[in-house]
Amino acid sequence: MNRKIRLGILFLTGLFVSFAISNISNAADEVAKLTTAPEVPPALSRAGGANVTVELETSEKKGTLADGVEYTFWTFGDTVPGPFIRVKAGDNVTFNLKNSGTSKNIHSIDLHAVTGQGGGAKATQTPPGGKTAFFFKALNPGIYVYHCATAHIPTHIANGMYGLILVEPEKGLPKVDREYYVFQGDYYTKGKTGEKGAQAFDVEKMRAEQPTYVKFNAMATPGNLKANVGETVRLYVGNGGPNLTSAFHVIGEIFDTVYQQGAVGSEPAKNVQTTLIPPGGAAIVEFKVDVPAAYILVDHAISRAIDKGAVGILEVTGAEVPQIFKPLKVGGADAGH
Amino acid sequence: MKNLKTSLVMVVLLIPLYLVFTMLNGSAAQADSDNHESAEHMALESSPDHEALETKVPSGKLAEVRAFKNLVASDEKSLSEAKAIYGGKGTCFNCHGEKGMGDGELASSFDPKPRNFTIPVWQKVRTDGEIFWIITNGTESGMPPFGDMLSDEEKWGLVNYIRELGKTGGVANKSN
Ligand code: HEC
Ligand SMILES: [Cu+2]
Repeated sequence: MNRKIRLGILFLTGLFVSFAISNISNAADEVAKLTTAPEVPPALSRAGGANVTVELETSEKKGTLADGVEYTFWTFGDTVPGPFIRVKAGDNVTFNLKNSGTSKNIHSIDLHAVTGQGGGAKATQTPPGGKTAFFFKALNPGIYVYHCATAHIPTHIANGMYGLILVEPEKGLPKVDREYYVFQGDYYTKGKTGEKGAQAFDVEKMRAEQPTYVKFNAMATPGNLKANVGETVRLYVGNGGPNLTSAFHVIGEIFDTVYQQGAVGSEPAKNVQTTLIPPGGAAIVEFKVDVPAAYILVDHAISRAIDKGAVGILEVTGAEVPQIFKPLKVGGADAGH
Repeated sequence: MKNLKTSLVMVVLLIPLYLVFTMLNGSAAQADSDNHESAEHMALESSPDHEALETKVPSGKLAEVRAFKNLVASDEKSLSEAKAIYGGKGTCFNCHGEKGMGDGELASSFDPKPRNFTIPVWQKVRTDGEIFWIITNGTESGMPPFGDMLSDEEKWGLVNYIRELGKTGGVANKSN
């Protein structure tokens, strides 16, 4: 009798456990949460191997390239850069691409995180108002660029069709206090830098690799990145080009850690001042913000920053830490006399 | 053994025969196409429209492609549907231009340029089958393949519409 009860309990426990397990794997079937730059979706608290659906729509949309300069961007998700996508190594991803009915052009997507024909580009040539889809398994962890790959590809990229997809390693990335998404692109307008009004794309300037603007998060919500003194900040920095390699630098900071070229899994570099990010490449940089300041993100090919717009601001607030940094008073301008 | 030798000799003898035959055949075909439009051809050699003569269809497929039968009648209804595709989901106008002059907004991004459909000699030498094949398969140098994006019926409609673009008084050139 006793034994039968025990067996029964064992049986019920087994049932419960298997139910719970099947429930967990169901819970892992998810629609990827996408964010607009500079926001990054939260870290994934689950294991890899989930069935993830990504929904993305391409569009052509007017925006502001610089003060008083209007430009028709070609976009993923109505923003430039396109939304940040976050999955985990081992995930089974169903990618659904839509092209807005108001688009004038065909669009598509090539994700550098994809192993397969064209990174998805062949399967996703999508006419205005159309829909396409493909499946891929996220094999390699890392931070990857995605971009449109429809003819004429450089034109589609120059108009802003790119973004980042993070494939988290199985154990996730080390925990940090803040994560932000920054993406550089070079732009080519018919008018000179600073010329106001609606500006058309200039294919000749693009071929000559002479941009009129270089921007971070060209079409994203304006505003500064923010952090508090003592926090660790992680930036996912991508570069869409189409032409320029970025000398990415944050004025007044030193990168404690850099996953150069987004090589998650390799030993990261330590104590880096400036990191190279080629077109179609990305890096992850991390640093502790020790003192309050307005830290300025730049492409340190510095005329791009000062004259063409490649500037962003990380605003760090908190108490001064004079042991680390303080301005010294040495009197007025004529103090030396 | 003797049998084998004889057949070997036969084969060796046949090879030059075969070669001579194919060469004759080739030059005959060449002569044929030269006669076909020799005056025009000569004039075109030096004109900028010269490249319009060259088909974008791979030579191995050409015979088969030229024999394709247009499945859609060119009438008012099918032409207006095709016009909507040309200026809409087909996106043709972006590159080839609204009137088919090869001068769409994106034309300058391409080299070679998008085809100007109004060049008379192009209209003359290019068969419906070739146009259909190019719309389906695209080219390496910028024409996108529409095989998965448009139905065969839609593509044949576009072939007819491209013909209209080539006619000065055609439907396509009437103001909307
Ligand atoms: C993104 C630009 C683009 C779009 C959109 C486009 N084309 Fe083209 N097309 C081209 C270019 C460039 C060429 C010349 C390619 C070459 O010579 O290899 C071309 C060539 C062609 C040709 C070949 C002509 C020849 O020389 O035999 C045909 C036919 C054609 N296009 C039809 C169309 C139709 C119909 C559409 C719409 C369904 C369309 N194209 C959309 C760029 C485009
Ligand atoms: Cu595109």
